[in-house]
Amino acid sequence: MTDLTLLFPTIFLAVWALVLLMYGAFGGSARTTAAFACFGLAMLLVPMLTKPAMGSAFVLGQGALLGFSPFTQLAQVLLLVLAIPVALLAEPFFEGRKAHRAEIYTLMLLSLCGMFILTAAQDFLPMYMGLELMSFPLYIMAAMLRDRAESSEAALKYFVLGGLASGLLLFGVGLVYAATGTTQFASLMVALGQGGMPWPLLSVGLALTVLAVLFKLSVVPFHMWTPDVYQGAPTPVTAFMAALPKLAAIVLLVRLLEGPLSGLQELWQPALAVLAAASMVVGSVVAIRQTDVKRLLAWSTIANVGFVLCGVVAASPQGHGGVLFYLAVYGLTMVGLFAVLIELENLQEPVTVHGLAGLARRRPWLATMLLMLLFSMAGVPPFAGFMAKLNVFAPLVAAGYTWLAVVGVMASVVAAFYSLWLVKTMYFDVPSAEVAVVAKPVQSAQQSPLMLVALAAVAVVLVLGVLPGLLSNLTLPAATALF
Amino acid sequence: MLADILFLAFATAIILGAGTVVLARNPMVGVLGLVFTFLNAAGLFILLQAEFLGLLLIMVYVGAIAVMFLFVLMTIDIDFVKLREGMAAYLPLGAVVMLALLAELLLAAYAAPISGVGNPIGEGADTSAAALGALLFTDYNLPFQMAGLVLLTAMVGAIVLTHRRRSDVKRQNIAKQVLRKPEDSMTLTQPKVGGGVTASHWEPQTVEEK
Repeated sequence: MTDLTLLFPTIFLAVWALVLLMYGAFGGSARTTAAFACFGLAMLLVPMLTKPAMGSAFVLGQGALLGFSPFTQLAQVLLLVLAIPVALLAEPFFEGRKAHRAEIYTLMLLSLCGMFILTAAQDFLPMYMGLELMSFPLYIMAAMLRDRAESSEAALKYFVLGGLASGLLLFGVGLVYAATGTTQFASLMVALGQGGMPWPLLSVGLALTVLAVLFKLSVVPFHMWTPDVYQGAPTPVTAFMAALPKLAAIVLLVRLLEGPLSGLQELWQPALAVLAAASMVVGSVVAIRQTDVKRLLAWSTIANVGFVLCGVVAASPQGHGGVLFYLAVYGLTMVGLFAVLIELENLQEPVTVHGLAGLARRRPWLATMLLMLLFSMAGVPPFAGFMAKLNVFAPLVAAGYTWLAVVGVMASVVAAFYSLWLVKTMYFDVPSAEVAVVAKPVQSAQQSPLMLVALAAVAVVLVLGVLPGLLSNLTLPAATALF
Repeated sequence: MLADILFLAFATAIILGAGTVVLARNPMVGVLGLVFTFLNAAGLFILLQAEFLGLLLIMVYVGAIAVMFLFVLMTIDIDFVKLREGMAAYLPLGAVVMLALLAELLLAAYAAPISGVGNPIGEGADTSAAALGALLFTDYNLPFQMAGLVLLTAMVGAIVLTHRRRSDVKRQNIAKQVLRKPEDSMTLTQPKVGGGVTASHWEPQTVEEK
């Protein structure tokens, strides 16, 4: 019998999603549903922090379907911590557009439930189901603004390409099963542990499987969906997509590569190094040419995933700790940035690069927060973004991939260019005539969850920049116990 | 021997059907090709003694999905010739990718014949439906429950995205119609001889949703 207490957080999320669904269906307003969703997520943090569950669930033969370790535990806590501010972003955005539905919180929780399974998966079957449960709500949430064509387009594009990736994943799992007769990570590790090159059937299957995960991460050759989806989706949904699934997918990738595929390290390490370099360079360079801020952030996501992959390539506990640290800081920065963007959208400000001109004079508070978050993204020292980059590049050099670290530093110089370009536009450029007419007179930032979220993000980014040990003292021990 | 012949027949038919789906000029023919492919895939399942999965494939994919495809094709107006305009331009790249994958798979199949896979549901099982059910409700209960959650998500999504109040569509509210009283819509006036009636105080009632 499986100890179901291990699964408590996952089951709680699913049940809470159902409760919210029923509450919304029988007359509950979207606003109170939001409060209930945040309450549930915050409550769930208590048992997860006080009684961390470790061990295997659903033991079958050599392995298990799920395995909980300090690494998954910390990843799940980080997911929860990021999910709460994202849930707070939805109301101010959708309420003004008359599209605030209670179901969006049900979908968020279901997606989170899928991510929890994904981070703990030790078998291809729960991995596939987790990936689908994570992605389906994202497709639906991307289409929430039915009256905007871009929203539907984003959802459809994401859905079709996500379906393609799922197809490749299933094909890959099928080939792995044909070659080894197992879907379990543990048995696969035994089959691969015999050393030497894996036989071709298995290598094609494994390549397709890893590829599907890289697609979810939007690593460079599989990144084409990202800008369109990020731009078209409603802004809070974009924040959700930028902050959460990346973390879940990278945890799965690390556990896949360091677990069953650890014997093939000399094969995947150089391949991932090339992909990481490509992501960093392409993401940073293309971002320069963007005029839409959301699109620019999408390209910067691609570059940032490249930085994160550097930590995976390092293949050491320091590297994996750096990955978690990077994604936590990055996710929080993104949530803060999108909170400011939603506030700007609500204030009828144009969220294009040129539209931001002179923002510092019109809205000094928003501009200041944007400035700090962008500095963090660029990796300017007093902010956490710098420590995050340091935490992935240092293990990379230690692992002997100095060339990749050099590429990474050069790419982050390019990335710093567009971040600072935005800052320059906000602080030193004169707004064009039409923007000045459209924008309302100067007023201080409103009291709303948006400002709270943005302020919290800025505060955490500052604190973690000065005292990175607060988080890295958690990530490093967790990364030494992946399984 | 007979099994080999049947396998070759089904496999060839699948490739032909899939080719029809991609190449058919008429989308109707394409969907029928899809149905043909599903039927032959079901044949392969039955050949592998997974008769339950084979029948499920026919029921779900042919019975529900392909038929819905046909409905959609009949009701929407899409210029399919225009849709495939880019095909010639992308064909070379697609062909290269396809050939690379085909070469990889052929190489893989010849380098090491598929091994290690027995009958996954165990020898001597009574029927594949019973054996599958036993597995799904015991060892693989977790993925099974998660599949339920995925289906729930799809259901919620379908309703959330289609069921919404639209301001540009008129709806009938029967309760409101039944409860309508003469006073609500009728004004009795007694105009003086030679005087007219002004209807300025009367406004058409808008039928509103609650």
